[in-house]
Amino acid sequence: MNLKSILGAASVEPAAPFPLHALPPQDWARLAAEGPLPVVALWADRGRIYALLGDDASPLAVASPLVDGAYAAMSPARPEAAWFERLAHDLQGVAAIGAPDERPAVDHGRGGNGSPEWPRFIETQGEGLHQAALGPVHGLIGPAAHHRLTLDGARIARLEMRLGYTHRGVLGLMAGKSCRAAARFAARLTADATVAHSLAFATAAEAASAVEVPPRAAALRAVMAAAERSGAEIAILGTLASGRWEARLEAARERIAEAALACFGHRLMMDAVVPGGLAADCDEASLPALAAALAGAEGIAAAFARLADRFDPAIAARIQARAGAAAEARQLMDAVLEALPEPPVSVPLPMASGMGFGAAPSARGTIWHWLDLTSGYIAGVFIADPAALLWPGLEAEAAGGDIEDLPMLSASLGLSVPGADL
Amino acid sequence: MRQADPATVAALAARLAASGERLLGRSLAIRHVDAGSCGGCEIELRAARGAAHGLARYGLRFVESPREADILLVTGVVTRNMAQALRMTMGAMPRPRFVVAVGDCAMDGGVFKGGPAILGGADKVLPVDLLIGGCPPMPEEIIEGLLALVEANAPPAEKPAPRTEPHA
Repeated sequence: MNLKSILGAASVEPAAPFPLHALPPQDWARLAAEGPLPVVALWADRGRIYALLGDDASPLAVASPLVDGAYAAMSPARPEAAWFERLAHDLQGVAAIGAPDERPAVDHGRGGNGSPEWPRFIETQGEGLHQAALGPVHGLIGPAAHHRLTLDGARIARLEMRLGYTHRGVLGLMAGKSCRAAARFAARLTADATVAHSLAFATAAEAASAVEVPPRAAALRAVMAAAERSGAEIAILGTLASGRWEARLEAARERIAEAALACFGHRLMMDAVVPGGLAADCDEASLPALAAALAGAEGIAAAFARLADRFDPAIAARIQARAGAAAEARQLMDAVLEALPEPPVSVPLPMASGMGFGAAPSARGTIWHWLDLTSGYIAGVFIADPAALLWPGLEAEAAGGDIEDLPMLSASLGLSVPGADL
Repeated sequence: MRQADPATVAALAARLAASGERLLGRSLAIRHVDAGSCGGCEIELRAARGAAHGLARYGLRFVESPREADILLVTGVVTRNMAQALRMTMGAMPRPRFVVAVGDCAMDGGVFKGGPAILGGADKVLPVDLLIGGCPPMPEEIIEGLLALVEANAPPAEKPAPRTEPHA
């Protein structure tokens, strides 16, 4: 029994840029029970369960019909799938058979039935253990999330995250809309990756519609993605820094925001990437200032990374990787700006039908969007922000650690709350 | 130095006079609540607080405890899941207290207006004193908006000159 025999029996459905393998439920169950392919995304839509497996470069798309509204859970063999399975339960009412984690995700019992119910937490058992609650209102300027800590002195025995506070029902609002109208929701899922989400969404829409964007649009998208990535990386480093370093990293980020405003008309470049290309052309005269801002960010990130050995080894490695990503973003921008193609910056999107996947890198991993279009309108949509994979990981990584280290650990991952809450 | 919009100040001053509420002093403490934000307003709040924009120079600072706060600053739509926490935070704040809605979502739901998972803008749950629109508003717009609250609150005679950075 191996992957080849499972896929050999699958019927292949057209999707772009790679096909969808439709499996009978028993083959889905076999695939779910065995490794080694990790989960990239998992979601339910109109009677089927879908998953993207493997690595971001060449993922495998599979789907299978639900049986009595249920499917075989992926999370026993792939713990990173837990949040996706919980989301699918709360959003679509589908059950993951055999899932070890059946806590709610975004359903806090505050729906239309008028019976508010405060979330239940896993009970603490054991001598000397106590629970501490943090959030959803906490910190100075932070996202809405609840940390429930089971502590043994200063040691974290268990971290339980209660998310879902920022659940705005983004997928439901996108369904039934044209790609152009729905792009505004993709841009507002999580603002720290607004360009990346807009890009993944637009790429999925263009793949489903079999459209290619003009070369100038592709080049300027790369410029924006690099600027956002560099800014996001140094913002994460800034949360790990303090005092003078924090101020220097903050100043570098501010320079990027100001240059982005001059080039693209918005400090975060929100709504600049749209299906079919760009919403507007850039101010070319301002591009050198953006390139200079990225060079500055690269420099300050590299300088900060030289202090990484002051941190815990796992966090130090992430600091090095983030400084490296800031350098890559600068190189990418320089390469694109060397030969910027001529206008136009957009093409009209035909009212096509089809299924498409779109990906874009972000500071916490690759973002994936899935779209099923019917005559240009969205019949099905899913957004997989890597935050969904990282939150279960944080719960596991925090256990056994010191409470003092949790803010650093959490910050080093570059997590997003709204990206997971949808 | 940023200046508050005089028309906004006048309107706010009239409103505060009518309510009979006035905060003490010109140093105001802000408790921020993300009621369902994408994080964009938070990025710009952090920028407003940073050295480049220097919110603290204007006597405005963020605090952790709502019990120490004069201003409740709400970002994002109010989701069903955050409505209770938002009300509880306001309930923990001493009077007089003011509510500022920052960003298009907090103003009226923004692009999410009418969605079933949200209640709408901050005014669906709390009485809002000041709106600062934008998606997200820029740091200078946030500062100018908050300054209007400071100006309207402080009697003009007592107004000291704002402190400036030595090399700004």
